[in-house]
Amino acid sequence: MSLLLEAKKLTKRYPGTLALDEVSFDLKPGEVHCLIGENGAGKSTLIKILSGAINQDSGKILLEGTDVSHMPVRERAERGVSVIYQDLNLVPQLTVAENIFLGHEPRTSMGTVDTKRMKKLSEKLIEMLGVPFSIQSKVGDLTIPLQQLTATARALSLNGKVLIMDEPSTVLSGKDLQVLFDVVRRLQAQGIGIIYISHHIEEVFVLGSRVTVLRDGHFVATKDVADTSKDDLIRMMVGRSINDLNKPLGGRTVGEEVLRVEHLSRRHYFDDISFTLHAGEVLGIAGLVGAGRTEVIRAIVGLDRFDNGSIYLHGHPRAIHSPGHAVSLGIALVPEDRKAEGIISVLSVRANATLSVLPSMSTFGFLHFAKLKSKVDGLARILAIKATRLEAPVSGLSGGNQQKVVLAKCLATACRILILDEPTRGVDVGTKFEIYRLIDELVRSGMAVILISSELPEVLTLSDRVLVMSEGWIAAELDARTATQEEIMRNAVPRAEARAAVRTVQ
Amino acid sequence: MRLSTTADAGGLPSMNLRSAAMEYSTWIILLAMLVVGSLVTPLFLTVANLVDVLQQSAIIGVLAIGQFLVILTGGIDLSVGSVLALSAMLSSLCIRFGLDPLIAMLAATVGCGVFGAGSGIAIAKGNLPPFIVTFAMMAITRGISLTLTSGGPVNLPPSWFLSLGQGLWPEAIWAIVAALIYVLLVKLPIGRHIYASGGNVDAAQVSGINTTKIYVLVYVLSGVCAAIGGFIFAARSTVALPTYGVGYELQTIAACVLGGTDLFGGIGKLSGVVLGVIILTLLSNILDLAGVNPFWNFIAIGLALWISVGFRSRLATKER
Amino acid sequence: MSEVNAVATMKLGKLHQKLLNAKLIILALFVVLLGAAQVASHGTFFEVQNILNILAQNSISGSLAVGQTMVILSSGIDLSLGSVTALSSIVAAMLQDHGPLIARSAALGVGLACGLINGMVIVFGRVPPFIATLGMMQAALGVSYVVSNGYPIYEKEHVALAFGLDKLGAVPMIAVLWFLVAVVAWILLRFTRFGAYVYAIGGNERTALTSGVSVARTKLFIYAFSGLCAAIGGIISINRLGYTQPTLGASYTLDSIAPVVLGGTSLFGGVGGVWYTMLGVMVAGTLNNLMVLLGVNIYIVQIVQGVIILSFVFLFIRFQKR
Repeated sequence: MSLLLEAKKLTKRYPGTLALDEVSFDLKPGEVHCLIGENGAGKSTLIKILSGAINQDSGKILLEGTDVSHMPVRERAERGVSVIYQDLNLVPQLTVAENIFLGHEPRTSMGTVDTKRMKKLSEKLIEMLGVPFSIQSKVGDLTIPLQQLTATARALSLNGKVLIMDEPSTVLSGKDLQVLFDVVRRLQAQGIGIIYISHHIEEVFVLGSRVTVLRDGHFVATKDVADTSKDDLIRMMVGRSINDLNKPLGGRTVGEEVLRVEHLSRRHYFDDISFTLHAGEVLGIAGLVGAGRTEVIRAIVGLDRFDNGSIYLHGHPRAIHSPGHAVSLGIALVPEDRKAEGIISVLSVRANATLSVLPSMSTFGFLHFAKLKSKVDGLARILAIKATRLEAPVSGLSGGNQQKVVLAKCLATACRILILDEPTRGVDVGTKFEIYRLIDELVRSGMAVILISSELPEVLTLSDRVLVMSEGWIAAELDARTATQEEIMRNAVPRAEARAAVRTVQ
Repeated sequence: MRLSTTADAGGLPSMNLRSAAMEYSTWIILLAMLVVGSLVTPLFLTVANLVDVLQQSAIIGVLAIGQFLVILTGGIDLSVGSVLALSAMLSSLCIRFGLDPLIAMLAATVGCGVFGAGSGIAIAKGNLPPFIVTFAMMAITRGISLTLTSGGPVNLPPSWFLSLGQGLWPEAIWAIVAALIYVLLVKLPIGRHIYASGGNVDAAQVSGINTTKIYVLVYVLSGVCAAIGGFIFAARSTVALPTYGVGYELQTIAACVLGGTDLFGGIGKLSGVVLGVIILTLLSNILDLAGVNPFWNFIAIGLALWISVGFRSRLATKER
Repeated sequence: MSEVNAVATMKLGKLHQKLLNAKLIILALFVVLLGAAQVASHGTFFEVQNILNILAQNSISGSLAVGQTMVILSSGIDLSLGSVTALSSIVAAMLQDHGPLIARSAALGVGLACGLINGMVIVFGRVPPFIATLGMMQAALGVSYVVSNGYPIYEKEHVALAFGLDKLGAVPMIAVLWFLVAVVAWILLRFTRFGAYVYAIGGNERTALTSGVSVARTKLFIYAFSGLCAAIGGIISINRLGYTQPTLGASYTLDSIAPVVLGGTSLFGGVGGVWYTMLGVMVAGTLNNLMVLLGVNIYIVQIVQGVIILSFVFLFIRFQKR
């Protein structure tokens, strides 16, 4: 069988880093070739080079035998190479049909937009995907899964031969995930070659024909899915065995109740959420994206409102008005989206780290600079924050170190309840383990921790108990010592699809 | 993030009262004004008065269309008032020196278009903030207008040019401009490209749209609209002064905002802008007919802005 | 894109990187400007009287620019400053028979009130600062007209600015007042919790909110402060001009934004400060003064101003790290 796409020895250098080191890759028609690797492994760079968004320093790319190594994006797209990026790149104010044909609208002989033809063609594309929805809707009004379908239709609108999907499953769960898989299989059946990037290794075994692993810009291996296992893949990705990650850190003494939530509800987001949290323990909250975990904790810290239910701190009922109020009550939050809500890029490490505690570091509003300095110095040492100067803007720090700054900000408040929402997302492996160790230390000294994570090994490693949320309610409460990833997944997935979605997990 | 409600094939159940209110808010405001006006005095709802309102709206109306295009791309054009004056001065000077009015208007339009292009290029290629660039351009074009005659007036000799400012011509010109831009925005592909460049620049670029060209285009069009406004102004006053148009930029922005245009780009309707201008003129018209001190007009505009935008803003962010 | 910049900064050595600091650029340009001024004016520029004139001429826009700086630092904008200046000066002029204390307090009260209204419309009305302050600009202008009936109001008897003095030694009192306002703002921004919050909100409002900063309260304070600055500008303008009228504020608003931009404070918020702006005022003021000394056609001055602003902003954007 002739190859659809062939990339030979692609190399890309940035000042200071080697993003890709002679990486070779190929794609057959009608196959789903999964591309996996940790953050920073080079996946994004590779697909940007394949699509033409950036140029490689050396190496060749062949599309059905033709050399497209230096062809611009438009031409490559016309020849059939399209990318569906993670952020979808849709214009919310335009309709589905308009988005699908953005930039290549069908024209009448007079040069105006042929809206009739655009409508018909759009409907045909949507039909091809197998999920009917109205092409007249404004994209901004659609749910995320439908937006993704729009993006997929767009990618196919230009003579699709090679479809590159960049982490399409990250924002999906349950039924929508199934729809995605069905769409991929449909396209595959039509001979389209798909490069599928995902962090969820289980999906490789559900969808993939072959899988390629990248690590630190290097090509590690390409394997037929049938010839490999999840543990194999992880070992290749990380250079470490899954066992290291999975060892639960045990031996903690659980103290008194510090937080109790009863029947918390918010229409459309979560319903009847009840749980308790004790000093010295980690309560993990697992679940698929969209299960409502982040919404629940945002309600607890006063960022969002809730309709019903009550919150008790140390046994006393409390109404938490705002994050500032939460801080004064001893609750601190490390938010999910670091860039948008965790750090202020233009400000220094110092400014970021002390942001939550300024009231206690000032008299009549005037800041105690000496106190602030020693506080930050102390925290930087404990957390081992690697920054050239603490006065430099945090934008210059790596993702892992930025996350440490966010942690410093929380620890500075001397909180007793620490809520972590995806704390190791976008963080390099080394820092990840440092953070694990830190959490463990904090908990041993009496801190109560709520941990939201989509990484099951992480949840099981760190937690004492695990709540599994599914579609807005608590599906199960498990003991982390005895629970398995499979058990969590089974509870996290909506009932009817449980069987279909259970992945073969080692 | 919301629970995945795949039950709704086709989007959220959106056509409820709230979003309907958003869509038609401008019409609602217009309706309210017409009602209030007719309550104030029977003279209000007469053809003569309403035609008068349209005539008075024409100049700002034309300028506002250009401003609308710029705002759609997420930018702003503070120079429209000064460019109006420049156009009035240039065309009048040309006519004074014997050029055929048509040639004079063409020359003035090209000149203003060039300044618009300058703004657009500085913004698109130089990555400079539109606020500052058009602010500077405002100063530059105002300065040029003043320099041309050292601040003095240019009296227009009788010619067919003067008729542009009389009778139904101002409204007609406004209507023609609106129609042309409507075709541009709705019928031609470039219209969607403009909305895309403002709504999601990355999406636009990824789709192969040359956003740089789009940005330059909208500022050129804004310059052209300002030029046309200048012609009407000069024709109506039979004299061109370099001090024309002071404060007009803010009026055009107010009209766009009242008409539902989002200052961040990508959202807005041409009909809304036209309505917005009419609403502004109606405001002063009603106050005038009611015998109120005309200065209350300013206060009314301020309140209108606060209320209409605040209303829409709270309506949109009902979630929090 | 970022690729190119990365390569460019690698090519320049460490020393060059240090030099390409915005602050140093303006400072260098300012020095060059001063030098050119001295030469071009055949030495008349640095005469004491001339320098004092520059200070006096820019006291009003300078005071407004201080308030504007604080607003822009929080990634907002205040378009109403000019109108509020006019309004507060009109109020003060109308109450002049009751003595300077009452008149000026009333002016300050007006400025404070307008600022608070702006803040409330922004915070509770969720109206973007551009539109909120645009509305105030119109409203304040309208109130100015209504209250004064459109006519200018003259100072019946000149009242000295402070302590019965219009000059502190040789320095005009209005410049001293301007300087005091700047110092107060500087202290607030640099040394207080409030100042830290201003920068935080400008840098990333969502993060500030999530981190527990009282964003609403801080914003109200910010706009109240700029309203006060406008009122001080109004008081200065009566003292300087001897009369006031509603159209007074027409150019002051944009005159308060230009120095902030010239001084290097980013319109996106979070970067910059009061002294940057003061430098910007001095640059603008020096330029104007220079052109007057050179006898440049007053209308050309506007053109030059526009070109200067464009060039400065261009330089900042080019050389600021993203």
